[in-house]
Amino acid sequence: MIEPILFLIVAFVAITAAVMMLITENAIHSALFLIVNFACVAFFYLMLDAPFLAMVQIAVYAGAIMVLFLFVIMLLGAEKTTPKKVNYFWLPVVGVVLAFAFFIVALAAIDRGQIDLQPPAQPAPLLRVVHAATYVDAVDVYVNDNLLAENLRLTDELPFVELSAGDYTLRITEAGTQNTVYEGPVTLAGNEEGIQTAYTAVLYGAANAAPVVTVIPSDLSMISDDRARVQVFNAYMETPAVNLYDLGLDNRLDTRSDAVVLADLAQGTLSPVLELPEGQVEWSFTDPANSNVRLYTLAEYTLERNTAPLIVLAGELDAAGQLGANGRVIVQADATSYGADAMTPFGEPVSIGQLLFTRYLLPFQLVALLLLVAMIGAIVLAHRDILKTSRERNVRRRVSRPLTSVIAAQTGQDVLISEAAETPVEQPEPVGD
Amino acid sequence: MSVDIEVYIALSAILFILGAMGVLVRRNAILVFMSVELMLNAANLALVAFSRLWGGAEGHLFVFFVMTVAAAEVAVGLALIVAIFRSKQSIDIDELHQMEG
Repeated sequence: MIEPILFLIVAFVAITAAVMMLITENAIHSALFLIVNFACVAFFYLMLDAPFLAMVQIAVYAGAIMVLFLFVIMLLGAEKTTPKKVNYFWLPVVGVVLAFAFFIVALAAIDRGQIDLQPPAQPAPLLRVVHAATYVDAVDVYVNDNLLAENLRLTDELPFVELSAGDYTLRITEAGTQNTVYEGPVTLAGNEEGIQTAYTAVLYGAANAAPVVTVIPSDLSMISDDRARVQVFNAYMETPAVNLYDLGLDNRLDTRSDAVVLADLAQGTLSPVLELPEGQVEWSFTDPANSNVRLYTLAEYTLERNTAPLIVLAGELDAAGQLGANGRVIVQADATSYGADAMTPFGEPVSIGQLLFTRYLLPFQLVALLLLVAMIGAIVLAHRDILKTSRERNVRRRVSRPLTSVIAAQTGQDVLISEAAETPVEQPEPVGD
Repeated sequence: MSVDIEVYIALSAILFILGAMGVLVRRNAILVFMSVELMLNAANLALVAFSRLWGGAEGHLFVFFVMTVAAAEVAVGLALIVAIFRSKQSIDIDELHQMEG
């Protein structure tokens, strides 16, 4: 309730300051009123969830630009703005009438233009299905009887599919047939803050049991400090649990406690979220009962920054007692490539910076170039001789010559006296009219 | 957000017409410049308000660009005013209607 009152007060101050800027006779006072107005606008930026812009508004507008104005007003001594004579007496009247006409048009446009006050649509949740059930052949995936994927084979990565938020029935059948392998409900929820939500349905199961599906939500919000957000799901059915070891640079499996990334991850469970620094890792899954055997090794697996990889361990042992070379570990990486724009909170400098250095890099460069040109232009304009004709410049040079010759005479040199005598001392032409 | 976007836009329109009035009515070149700044600020306010409505940061980015352009404009414009004042001893824009040096 306090916000509308605050808004009214600040809006009143802003409009009053703008009006006073227009009607006051002293240019210095005008500039000071304009600073008040800028401060009010900065306050509105704060109310509109743009704290960074509010800060820039105060620093750049109310600070730098207005100081420049005040400086020029004082430099020129142009405080008094009362016109000596009025050339066009009708101009103020016409100006006010035109401005009010524009105001009426603007109000009509705001009133009848139907500004859509609904917040923008939340990004649709994403769903993908991972086939990790070793004892099931290729499957077809149906969502509410709509075919989502056909002939999905073991370890296949099904790309994300956008679905509107809601409850769905997920049905998985053997490929090409109507033999239902699994059927169950899936709830896809949107995110209140506009962050994309992503769900991964993992189909897995033991040899003599019906396969089950676990739906894993992925956290796609921004990760700080160049980290990756890793989760591991154990769909491996041969042992009760697995360990995940970090082999380190020497690629050696030992049982140092600090080398354990995950300990005793039971089958059918999801690990807690691991926020790990980006870079390459050498990871190995082992059986806790027999930790010398590498079930599967993730060789030179790269954790990319700001991604949310989901690693699904599944498969059956081959003759060598390992999960085979045919890739029985399913690594789903880079979930954050979806909806990356919505990752940052609204109005923070991070989001502005991200846009500035990615999508709007070219406009940013152009604006920087414009500033450079403006700087050079200001320097050129402020240079004293730029407005004088070449004749005036020559006059000035000739005028200054006798002085140099006087100095030369006083220092005992007489080289320039004869030349100086033949140039009459002129007054420079009066500048302007 | 308890204040409607439309109110912000209306306020922005009011500030804009005040700035436009200043450009049309005042005869002092520096005051005309300040009125232009006021108009730019009103446009910025509308951009931020719409950006809040839309939920994206693009509006903020455009405000950023507008501020940069305004800074450039002020730098060049004030340098021009100083140069004109030096040659004409006046910054009344009624007296500047002829463009001769």
